[in-house]
Amino acid sequence: MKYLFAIETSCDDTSVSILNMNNGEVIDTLSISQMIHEKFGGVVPELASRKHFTNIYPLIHTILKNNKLKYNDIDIIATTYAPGLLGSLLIGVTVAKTKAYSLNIPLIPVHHIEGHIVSNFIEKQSIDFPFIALVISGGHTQLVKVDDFHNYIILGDTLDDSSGEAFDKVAKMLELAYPGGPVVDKLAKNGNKDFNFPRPLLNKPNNDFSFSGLKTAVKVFIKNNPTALKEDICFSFQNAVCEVLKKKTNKVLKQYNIKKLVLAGGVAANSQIREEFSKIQGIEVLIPQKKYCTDNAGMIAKAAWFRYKNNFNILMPNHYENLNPVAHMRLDEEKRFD
Amino acid sequence: MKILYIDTTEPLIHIALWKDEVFIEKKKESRFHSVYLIDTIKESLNELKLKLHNIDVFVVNIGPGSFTGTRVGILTAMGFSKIFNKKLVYLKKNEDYKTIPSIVDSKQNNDEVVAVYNGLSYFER
Repeated sequence: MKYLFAIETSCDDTSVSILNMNNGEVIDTLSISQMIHEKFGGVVPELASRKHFTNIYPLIHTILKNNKLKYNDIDIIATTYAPGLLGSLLIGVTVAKTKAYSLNIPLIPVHHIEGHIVSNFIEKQSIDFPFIALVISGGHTQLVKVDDFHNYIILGDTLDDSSGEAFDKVAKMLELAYPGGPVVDKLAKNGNKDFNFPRPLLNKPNNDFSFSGLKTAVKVFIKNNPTALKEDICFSFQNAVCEVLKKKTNKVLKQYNIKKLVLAGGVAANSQIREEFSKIQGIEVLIPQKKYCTDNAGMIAKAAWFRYKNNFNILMPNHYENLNPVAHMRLDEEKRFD
Repeated sequence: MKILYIDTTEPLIHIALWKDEVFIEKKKESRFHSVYLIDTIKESLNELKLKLHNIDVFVVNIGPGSFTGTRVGILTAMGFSKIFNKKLVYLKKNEDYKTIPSIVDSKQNNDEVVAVYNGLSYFER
């Protein structure tokens, strides 16, 4: 066993990665982001799938060539199979199945959110449990208690929009570029006036989130105050999101008496969130490197490596032929196939 | 010559296999081509006691066909051709697949990823 090859095509980033099975080191990761969605202000699923379709083989060819490897050198395949856009996931799953079948090697299907959580442990050999994971991305806003390998308890989830979605939509209201996260982050650095946007569900006893009301509040504010500076609006909005995330997370950490927090997902690349969470007292906070925050195959490779180590869902030839992508699957809903 | 033909552009998975003079074909109804394609290919190969690496030329129908189905077939055929370093030939809907053995030699090896769809997506309208 030498090389693991991972594919990630769950949303709008086509990404492949190679990992050394002997020491768990991610050797190389190569990604193509699809800029075409910018003009639509959001990901167009059919278009994303078509782009993955044309990108995937050239990308695989390039990464193998760069590392002087051949198809025969691959000993194990991993792919994201849930959750995500069905048409996009299908590209990765089909390619992974084709390769595994042709080369007669095992295939490890990986849960995308587990990949995001593992992005904190890319350079580590093991994961120390237990911890609380705050998953904040374009599709998810969840507080997850992780007691052991693949032992997830979802403590809080979003009732409507995800935090990443809120960033994208506020950017759209302000006629900024897509994706909204990096632009809002950049403008917020120059803002200094806080308009005190609502902090949704902050005083509710549960651990759930809601960002749709905050989004509407921003929309109404922009309509009533056309002269307000974009920088200040971004600053106020980001403050509201940050405070909600921080207070809810703190509450959960206290409630379960856990001293370790892990951030995961694209929104974890936001500089204010990174800064404020790293300042939490008495808690060990892990924040992934910025390049591993957004969707990438490196984290999928590493998650597959941990699955291999824990003997979880390794599909041998004749067992993965019927593997199918799944659009919606919570972390705690994933079943064993092996 | 051994040729494997894959067509997933329609609601039926269609596999045709030539082993020199012997010819077999399989049509399987499936709602999810991605799930049943490899099984159908396996069955056909087993019937003629062939292995995938014995195939000399892979032929795939590039449409016009359904969005997802067409892509699944092309990705699979392309993966086979790349891994075993064998010729990949594209066939269009209007070409008769029964003529494949007589036309594969005159066709070039395809490396570009193309698919033709039998309709427009909402972003193209």
